[in-house]
Amino acid sequence: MDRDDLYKIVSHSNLTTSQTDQLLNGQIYQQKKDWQKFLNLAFITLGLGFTVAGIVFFFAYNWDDLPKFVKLGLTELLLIATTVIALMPKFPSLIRNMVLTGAAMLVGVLFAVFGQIYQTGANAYDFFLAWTLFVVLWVVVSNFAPLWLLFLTLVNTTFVLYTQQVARDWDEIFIVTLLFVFNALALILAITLPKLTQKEEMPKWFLYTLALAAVAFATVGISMGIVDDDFRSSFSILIMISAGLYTLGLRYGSMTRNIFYPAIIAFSLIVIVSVQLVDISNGAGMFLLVSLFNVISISVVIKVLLDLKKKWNHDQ
Amino acid sequence: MINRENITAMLDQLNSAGMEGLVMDEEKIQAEYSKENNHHSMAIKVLSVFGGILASLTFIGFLFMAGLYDSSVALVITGALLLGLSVWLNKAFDTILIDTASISAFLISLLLMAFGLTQMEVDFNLILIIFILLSLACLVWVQNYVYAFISIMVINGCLLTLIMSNETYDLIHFLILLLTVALLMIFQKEAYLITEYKKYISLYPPLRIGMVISLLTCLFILSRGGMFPFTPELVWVSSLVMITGILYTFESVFKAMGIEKTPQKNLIYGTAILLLAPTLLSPAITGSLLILLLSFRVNYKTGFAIGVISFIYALSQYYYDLHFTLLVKSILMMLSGLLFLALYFVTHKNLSTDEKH
Repeated sequence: MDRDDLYKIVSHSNLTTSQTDQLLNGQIYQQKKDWQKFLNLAFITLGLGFTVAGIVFFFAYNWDDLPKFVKLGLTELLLIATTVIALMPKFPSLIRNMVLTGAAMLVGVLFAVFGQIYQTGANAYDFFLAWTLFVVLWVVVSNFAPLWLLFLTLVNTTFVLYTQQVARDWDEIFIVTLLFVFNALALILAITLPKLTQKEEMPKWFLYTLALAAVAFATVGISMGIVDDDFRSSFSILIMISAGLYTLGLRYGSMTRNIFYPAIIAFSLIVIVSVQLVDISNGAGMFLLVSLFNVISISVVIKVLLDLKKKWNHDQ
Repeated sequence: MINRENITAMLDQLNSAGMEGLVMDEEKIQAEYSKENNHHSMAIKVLSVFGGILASLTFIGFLFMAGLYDSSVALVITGALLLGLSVWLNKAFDTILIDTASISAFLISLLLMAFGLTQMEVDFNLILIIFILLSLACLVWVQNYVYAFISIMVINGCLLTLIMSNETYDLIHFLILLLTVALLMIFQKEAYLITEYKKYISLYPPLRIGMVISLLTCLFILSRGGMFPFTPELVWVSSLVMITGILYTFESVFKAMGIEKTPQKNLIYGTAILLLAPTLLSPAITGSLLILLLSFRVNYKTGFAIGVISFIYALSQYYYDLHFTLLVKSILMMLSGLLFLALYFVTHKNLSTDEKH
């Protein structure tokens, strides 16, 4: 029994307060063992987190006075220490993965220190590229969703910096298209690879974050294309790719009976149409029309999604 | 997932679980499941809220371009009509389909009335109080998840604006006290609230998330000084409220964990006070912790996630803002880190022995 079930029963029965309390405490609230797990994890996370942060701050305080050798040595020592902890089988795997994620962050710190000492003066994208490349093995081996998210953020950042610092002649829509395709591909792989290799599925929040990123890039790209008439060719490519990937997303949503994907795709389309409408005319009448369009289209989308859900529930 | 047989089995199990004198209207419960009107996925709720906001924003665009804000009487009347429309829509059509339309109408109507009443030079405090009462009435009357949530946000926003426009900034501590008491009531007295106020049971979930977000908003205003010129020396008042709340929550945690001995309890209270005392200048930390604990206890995942994220954010903010040298900060952190590690090793045995049995 979950909370929703209990609420339904409470509203149509004469369950007393104490009986309800008993059911809540017995079936819905956390039990002794959940608290034990939670406190254990909370203490070790806080303990390790604060201690490491304290050590980092300590060296930050003395930073300017330290010789180069010590600066690099200390960072590397910290990096090695965290990596060793991550390798120790004695700790629960969640802790080890969290520590490894910390180590992946330290790789970035190490590169920053290196850059500071030797004044490499390189484009910032170099720094992110190196960071990305040097953590890739850990990411693949640990297969830990937060670490994957860090990695994908790094790839996205590297790419954006590259386009700003090196490939300045790429047009904006082309850049956004690449970001869209990259995140969508990452999402597709995150869904299909665990199935193919029969590994544990990636957590939902991870997939949803990727999907949101991909759809956001597509929406921004198409909106830019509508407002700006300069980049016809990249715009038409983006439209084609979006059409394809959105169709795929809708089909996947209906295949897995998950309304999240159709919901965000529909919202993106509504935003795109609104931008298109305002682009045609930005008079008062158009704004009223767009306002009405938003209300009606969202309601229609919700109706369709609810009907779909009902149909899926019925089929089961 | 749930079908007729599941429900009957669950109800039978309840009947045989020794619930004395339990009378259930099985027909109606079954009907609730087939209607499935109250339980919509988060995606749909978020969609309707975003849709409502998007529509209201474009409507404001329309209003300014058309210059319709000139006649104050017309604004107020249109606003009132829209408010009526939004309530009527919700009452007449008991479906989430209407949410987007009614939320847009609700938000737009408040905006129109705010414009109109300000132009008529009605006292600003009075406008805010009217809005609070209106939202409260709508919330109780309409009894819809998204509507209730938006109403609570509006009420909290109005209360904060009241404090700001009257330059009585330190009253924010009083607001925080009220919100905390409400939050504790909602989380700790769930059984009482849902059985005694059965008619309003559908208001419980939006009230819960609304209170969590309202409290956090106030606390983060307090920890970011620039927005709100309150007296910095009084920040500890809110912290005290939060710490008292946390200690109060401990009682139910003790129950869940089977801790009964008074010396043991006192030791835990003492350690907690010692650990929490240094955060006296950042009520956002203790507030997030309170939300995190309350949500974990009642197995409320959204609240727990919100608590964890805001806890991490508040902690980093706290250390960033501290006017100590990095050395002092580092010593403080290492000490707390070692303390937590010590706690881990001391409690590790106690906390894991039971699992093996």
